[in-house]
Amino acid sequence: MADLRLPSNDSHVLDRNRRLSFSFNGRTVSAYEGDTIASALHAAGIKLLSRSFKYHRPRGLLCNSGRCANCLMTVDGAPNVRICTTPAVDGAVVRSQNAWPSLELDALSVLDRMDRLMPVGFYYKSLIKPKFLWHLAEPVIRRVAGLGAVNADAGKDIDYEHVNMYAEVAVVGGGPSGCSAAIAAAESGTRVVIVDDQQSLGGHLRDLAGPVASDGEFAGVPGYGLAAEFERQLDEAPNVTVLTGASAFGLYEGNLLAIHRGSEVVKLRADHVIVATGTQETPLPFRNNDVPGVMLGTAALRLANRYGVKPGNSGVVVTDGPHGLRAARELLDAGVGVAALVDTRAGNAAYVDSQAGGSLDHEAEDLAERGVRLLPSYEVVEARGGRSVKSVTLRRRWGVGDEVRVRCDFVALSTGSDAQRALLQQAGVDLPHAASNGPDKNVYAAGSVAGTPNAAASIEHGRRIGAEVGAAAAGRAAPPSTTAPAGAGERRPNAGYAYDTAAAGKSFVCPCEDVTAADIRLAIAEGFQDVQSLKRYSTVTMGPCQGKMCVRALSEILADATGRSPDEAGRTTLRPPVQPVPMGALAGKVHTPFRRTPLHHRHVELGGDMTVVGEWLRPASYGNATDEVRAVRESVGVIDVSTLGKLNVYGSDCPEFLDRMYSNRMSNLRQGRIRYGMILSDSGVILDDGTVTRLADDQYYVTTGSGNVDLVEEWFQQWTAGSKVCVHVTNVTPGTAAFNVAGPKARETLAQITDCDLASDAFRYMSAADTTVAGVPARLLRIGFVGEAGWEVHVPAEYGAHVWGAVLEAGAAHGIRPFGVEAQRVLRLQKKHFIPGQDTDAMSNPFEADAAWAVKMDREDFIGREGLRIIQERGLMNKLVGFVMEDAHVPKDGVPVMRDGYPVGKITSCRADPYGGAAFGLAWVPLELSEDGTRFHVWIDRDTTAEARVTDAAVYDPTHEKVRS
Amino acid sequence: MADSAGTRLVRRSPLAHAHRSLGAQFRPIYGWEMVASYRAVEQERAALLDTGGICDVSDTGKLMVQGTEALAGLRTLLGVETLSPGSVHAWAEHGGDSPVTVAALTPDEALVICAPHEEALVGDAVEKALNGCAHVTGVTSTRAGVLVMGPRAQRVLSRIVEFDTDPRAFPDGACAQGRAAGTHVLLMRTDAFGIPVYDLCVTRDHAEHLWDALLAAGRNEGVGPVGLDAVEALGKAE
Repeated sequence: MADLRLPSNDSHVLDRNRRLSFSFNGRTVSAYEGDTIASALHAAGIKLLSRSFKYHRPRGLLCNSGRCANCLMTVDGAPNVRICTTPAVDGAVVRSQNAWPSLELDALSVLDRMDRLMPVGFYYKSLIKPKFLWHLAEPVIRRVAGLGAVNADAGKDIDYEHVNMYAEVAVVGGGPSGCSAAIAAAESGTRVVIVDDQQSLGGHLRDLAGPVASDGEFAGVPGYGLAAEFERQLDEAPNVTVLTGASAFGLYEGNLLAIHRGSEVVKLRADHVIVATGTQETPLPFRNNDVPGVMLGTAALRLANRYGVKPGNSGVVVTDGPHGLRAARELLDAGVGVAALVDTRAGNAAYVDSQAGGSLDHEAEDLAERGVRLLPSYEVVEARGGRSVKSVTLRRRWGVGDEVRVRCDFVALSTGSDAQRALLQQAGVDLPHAASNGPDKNVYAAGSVAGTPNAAASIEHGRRIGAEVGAAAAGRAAPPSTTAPAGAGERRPNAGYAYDTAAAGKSFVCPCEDVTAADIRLAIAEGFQDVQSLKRYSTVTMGPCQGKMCVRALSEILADATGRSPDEAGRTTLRPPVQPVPMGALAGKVHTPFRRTPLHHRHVELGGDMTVVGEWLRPASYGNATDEVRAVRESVGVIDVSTLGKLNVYGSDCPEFLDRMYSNRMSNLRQGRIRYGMILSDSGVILDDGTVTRLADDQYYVTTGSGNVDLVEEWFQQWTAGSKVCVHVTNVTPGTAAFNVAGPKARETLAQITDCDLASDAFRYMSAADTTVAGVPARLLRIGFVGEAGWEVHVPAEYGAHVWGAVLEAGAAHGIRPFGVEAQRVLRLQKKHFIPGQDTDAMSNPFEADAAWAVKMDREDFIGREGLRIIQERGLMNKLVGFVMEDAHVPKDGVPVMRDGYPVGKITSCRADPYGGAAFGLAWVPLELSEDGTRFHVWIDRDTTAEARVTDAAVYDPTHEKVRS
Repeated sequence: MADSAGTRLVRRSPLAHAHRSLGAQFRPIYGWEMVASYRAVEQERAALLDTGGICDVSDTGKLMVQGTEALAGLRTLLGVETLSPGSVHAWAEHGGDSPVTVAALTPDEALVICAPHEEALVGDAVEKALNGCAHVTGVTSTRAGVLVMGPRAQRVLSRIVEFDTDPRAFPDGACAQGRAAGTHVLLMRTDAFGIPVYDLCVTRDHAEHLWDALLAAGRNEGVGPVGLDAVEALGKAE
């Protein structure tokens, strides 16, 4: 196999003393440290890298800079890796994709001969009738076309992360303008972050072995040397952070740059953003322009000057300007044979261009002297070759003449480039050809993306923009209002896209999606004359390169076909991501911060079935909820209620404040007593319910529903903010472990571990005491929603596990059982206690929720009073009622209440009776169905309803004697 | 403190279970059971200086001072003219032996952090200095504390903390509140022993979540958990 490796040179990034090897399709390929997978393959003479998306045509290296889709491969199981920017790693397993049975002999390449059956948008035109045809064809099309297969196991061991960074000045692009802008901005002392998607800074300077310019500051300075010098200066600057191998794929509101780097997405927020993303060379459409060996000029230079690999032994350079002459010279200097230089410009005009400096006549003469055949005024008609280019066919432009064929084994296309303006467009910066800047955006363009003609001009422009932006970031000057460089706005010569497409062979505009120039002309002829609809119809620009290779040609062809200028024809929208990003990196680590109670690990040890309730992790049960219910009813049970919101409310204005907050009066609550209350919205809707305990004249202890504490805390603070009331609210929920000990034996259980007198007349229902339990300072609240005598024990969180253990130990003789939220639900339902949010919704008011007893309308104003007054005047429409089923059905939560076949209400909660009786629950029903004893129908399934009966009384202990006992 | 059986009660950090699963050695400290070390103390000390360490300090006393007059009272105590929100101050003359830190959070809210055994002493001193509408609430049980220390501490934090922690924007003596790993945190920078020290305060119910997120972020920077022994060894060396 051919060895295309060049002798060692200072411009190479290889360490030739360190060899490594990897496997490619089962074959061992050797490489040097510093090689990319693509450069190593090319050095080994492997030019065929992939098969195209639709026609399965052979494809080789095209951009060599991580932009196009030609080198996508599966590397160590990860599909669609761009191997031209992926370092070769010893032992890596590299496989080609989208070819069967092999890359060399792809049976599906037969599709290339069936192109007449598959014109642009063929699936819109055929496969429509009969309808089933599309369903048959779709899986086949998806299988045949496409990229690599997703490996569900790949990447599982990758630690994807998001990283947050901040900068005063962010520079995107590490080419000549980006580096010089970052250096200049850093001199102002501001924090600078420079981002570049290549492995080292310098941009295309890295690929130039010759001097950056023929005169001036950079005369005699080799491009790679200047790149290294830029990198050294930036690495040494203490206030500069360099992110290489990092692709900025989106610029979002607030100057948030999204950057993909390896397994990370960096979220960089910058005060000022300098976009120095430069330009990207684009291919020319001519027949068979996709044969392996046809590559961009920059790709050939990068192979030769950076990686020490010959693109081939004899090349043809195609150009439309001085950069092509330079490319030819650099290739010759590197030791690469150049057979011919094709210049699409007219005659001698090709060699009188002063912009790049120096005498180009001289440069052309020099090339001729070195054996390069100069072909000015020629254009490329066709490339020939199968898996590698063998020759190109040329003909004179603007005239008739014989076609010329030149033998070659590579073609370098230096035929103009396209400004990489995606980030600028996303920032809303208007940049057709010149930069501009809105004062509120602080986004600027620097270098060739703004229109500078060469590296020296880009460096000068970068310096100016960097210095001005740096001064602005340091607060020493106003930001620059325009960043247009001298000469911006001039169009580069047109390499000629308007070739006839009638001849046989394919001229690819969009290599990613296999869209040809003929396809585009056909689509335009079919009426898709708007660039956006043309894109959607033909899929041009929608492949992995996201238009970087094709949008320029698309615009030129559209302009030519519709008699407009390219500006009028327009461009497609450049949305994020500018470069593809792995889904894992986009997702990052999923932070789901569930709240854990201080007893969390005790529940796990006890076999608790931990489920997510709101933001909390709580045990649904410890195995058998029915047994847990029975333990509470017959002996004693204990449940972790640390999830209840707990607020300390302090301040001299507390009593009046809480009167306003609650539907009940709280100011007349005596010290040590507890009252139930509801918090209402202005319109009288129930927001939360809970208890209020008075601890002192100016101190209350408020409990809220689980998951509602943040809402209540904010609600309280909203009503104190800006007022002069002396009320302070401290959320002590996480610092307090709380559990409810309930059941006929609760008193005996607790009495063993506290000295507090728990007798019913000494410690009355709805009262509280600060005492000690199991040696720990504790607050006992005699409340509970399960309908049994019980106490809530509140202790500092760090003692929670100790006291919980003490309670279980004390209750062991009575058969105490811990119970979970499912048992609690049953116990509450037996008592007809509703749960706000579960049994009520955003429209529920206390009157309709059957909680009028907790509303004192005859007192001074409170929040929600006016809303309730209006509801009273309007009259009630629905009611939350308790019900028992008349048969053995247990309706699911949320099923409708039916009347005459229509839903008129909803079951909010229903549970089976733990003692085997009829199921019971709560339901919203129309007012006329809410009378005690009324029967209504409940939806069970599509064919079945069951009868339920309204019951005013709770199904358990309707006189509430047990809870007070 | 002891229960009726005379068993000495220990206060446990919300991270106790996490420490146990990491094989931590515990030691008592003013009624708390905290981590002495996870491996050899000298290794942990060296790691602190070399890369960094993550240390549970949930035992520190924490007092929330709230009210329109709260910061005025604290200014008098600290003997400073201004106490701007977002700043952390050392309070020397508090009557105890251990350092006390005051973090001004908002115009009417500050957090006082002290040694576990001096919480009552410091709380009384603050209470006495307050006039008008201001209150002190003990929040030691409510909030867990984790120190992220060492040369790579900021890099670890940048992986989970969403606000700007760059040393230039968040120097020694700064504090801020915001999101980290999906939850709300208070971050204070209180450099010591010649290395950056960040003190993260989070509600107890989210402590394990934050700890796990910190350890995961630390793994990528070679920063792991360290016990109090290693941190104290740094203090002694100083």
